[in-house]
Amino acid sequence: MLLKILGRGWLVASFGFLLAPILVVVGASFTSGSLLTFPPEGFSFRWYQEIVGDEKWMAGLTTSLNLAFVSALGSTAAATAAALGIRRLRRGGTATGFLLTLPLAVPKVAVGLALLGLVVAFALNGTMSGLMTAHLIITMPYAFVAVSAGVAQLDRFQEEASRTLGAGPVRTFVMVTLPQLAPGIAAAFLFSTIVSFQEVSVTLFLVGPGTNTLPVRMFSHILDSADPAVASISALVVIATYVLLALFVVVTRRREAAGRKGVAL
Amino acid sequence: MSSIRISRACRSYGSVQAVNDVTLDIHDGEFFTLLGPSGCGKTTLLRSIAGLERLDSGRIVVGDQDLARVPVHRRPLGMVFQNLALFPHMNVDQNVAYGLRARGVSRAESRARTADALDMVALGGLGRRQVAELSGGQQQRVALARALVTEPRVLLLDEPLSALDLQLRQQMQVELKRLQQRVGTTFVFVTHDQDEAMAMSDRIAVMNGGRVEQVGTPDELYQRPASRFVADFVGDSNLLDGVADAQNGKPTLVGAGLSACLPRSVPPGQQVTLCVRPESISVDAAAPDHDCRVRGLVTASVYRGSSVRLFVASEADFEFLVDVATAHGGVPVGSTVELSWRSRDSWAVTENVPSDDGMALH
Ligand SMILES: Nc1ncnc2c1ncn2[C@@H]1O[C@H](COP(=O)(O)OP(=O)(O)OP(=O)(O)O)[C@@H](O)[C@H]1O
Ligand SMILES: [Mg+2]
Repeated sequence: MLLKILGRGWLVASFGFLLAPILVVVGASFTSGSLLTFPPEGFSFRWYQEIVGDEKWMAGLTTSLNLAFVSALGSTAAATAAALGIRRLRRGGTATGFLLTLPLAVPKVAVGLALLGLVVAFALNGTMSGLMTAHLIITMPYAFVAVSAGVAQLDRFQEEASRTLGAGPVRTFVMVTLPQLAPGIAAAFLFSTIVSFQEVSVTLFLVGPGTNTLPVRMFSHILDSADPAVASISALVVIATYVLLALFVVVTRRREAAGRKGVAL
Repeated sequence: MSSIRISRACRSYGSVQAVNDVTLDIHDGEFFTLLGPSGCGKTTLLRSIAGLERLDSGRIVVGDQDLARVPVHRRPLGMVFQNLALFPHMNVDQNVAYGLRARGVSRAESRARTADALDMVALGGLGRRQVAELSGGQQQRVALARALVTEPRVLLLDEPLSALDLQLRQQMQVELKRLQQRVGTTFVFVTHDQDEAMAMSDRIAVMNGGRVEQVGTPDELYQRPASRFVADFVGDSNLLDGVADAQNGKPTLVGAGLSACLPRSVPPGQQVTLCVRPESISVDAAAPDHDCRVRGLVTASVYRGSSVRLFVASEADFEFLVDVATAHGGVPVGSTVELSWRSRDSWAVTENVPSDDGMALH
């Protein structure tokens, strides 16, 4: 009994610990004052109106969304190809997969410096193409981990059944392999998008005047201003991200439940 | 006419000879079974026919087409997998129509043929169901319909019933056999269950360690096993190992603590195994032509409905299995009995020597 109460307490404390910073930010965003404080002074949508009306934030948002979409598309495609390729290797598959996730372990500042060198070498510094290349590289390990989990669960017999039914390799891939892989691919795309959309430390090295992303603009904004605009933006980003994640979880749960019933004999 | 001809097929994985010099002739319209213990190479051979596994050497010919260079999806074959491998993201209709669409059959025609195929396996009207909404037996039938709807020349089945419980399994055995007779397609069926093989097959190939030990009808395998392995694997039997001799001018086996008449002449000194089926042995009812007799002690008796299985230990401690009709009356455990049989109801196996003269005796 005591243990149970202690366990509950621990659970609540953990969630509190995780959620507290978010609550502080969201709370502070509703302030009617002009300083970033918690608890907020009064309640208003003042800072939300402020950011929506500000060209600077809207431009940053557009840049970030473009960047996240294109780089997530690229890294998801590359990660899917890599995961499927590794599946066909007779040996060395695990090692290759490990190698592909290794960038996760390298400090972001080091990655930023390295990419800066690369981007400068190709005269892409400050351009959107340079940023997209960089984000593709940064998000690739996340996409790879997500797709690999899906690839590991592929049912080889279904592909073989498709072939014995007269379907060639392409038809089999499109009709049988891809649909099974869809949740993994969706997860890869989602995680890549989120990682790219929120990335600051590497991006700081690479942005130019015309390619400032939203997080980079937020970062420089708080360096010389203490107004709560950043809190309102953060609150919006948090909510948008959570809605996306929740949608994803609901959809995959439903699919999974159907799939499980299908396997059971 | 032969439907599939396999000649000198070999396949090894590292040091394991999974398929070792297999030559088989499977006839048109036949229910042919590959039977053998786990790991004997049945799946490897079947998958080689489908093209899902490559042979190291040997030829596979279907009809008059050598399959060596034919990719899986161009082979005139269908396959039913052990785990069925139905497509969970498609409904029953889409599963069954898959092979037709892949082979370029028009939408309208494939719809009609799909409906016919589902009727054939008694699933008419269930086409709109998701695979997940079917019972195990129904899923089994969808897999069959999916594989048969394209009218393959040969249907390959790898232990398709092994996931079912006993009752459903026996019911599906009958259905599968009926279906095969109705459509007339050649079936190549894999199982490790000898009862299943005996019940369903026109002919059986018994495999052991990658080799085919014997090919024959269920009756031939049971009555005239070509090797000790087949005698042991197919049906229950009493296997008396010994050396051939001649006593009183008659061929005799000496071994297992007794001497017993052999049903055919075997060169003296040769290793021989005498196979006596439990139902060929009489208990305390020796007829004049029962030329083999052994005394023993009944150690156990198991009731099996129409018959009783007795376990009888001979003086040299060989344990005989004997089936007596239940109507014959009980034999108490602990009693001493005389077992007897006609030597011509037994079968002598000399390893590696095809016994033509032995068959003549039968
Ligand atoms: N991909 C593989 N790699 C290595 N060895 C294999 C492979 N496939 C089969 N083998 C080996 O080849 C032999 C024959 O295997 P196979 O699967 O054909 O047996 P089986 O008769 O189908 O057995 P079961 O009744 O258990 O299904 C076995 O010893 C097995 O371990
Ligand atoms: Mg097998």
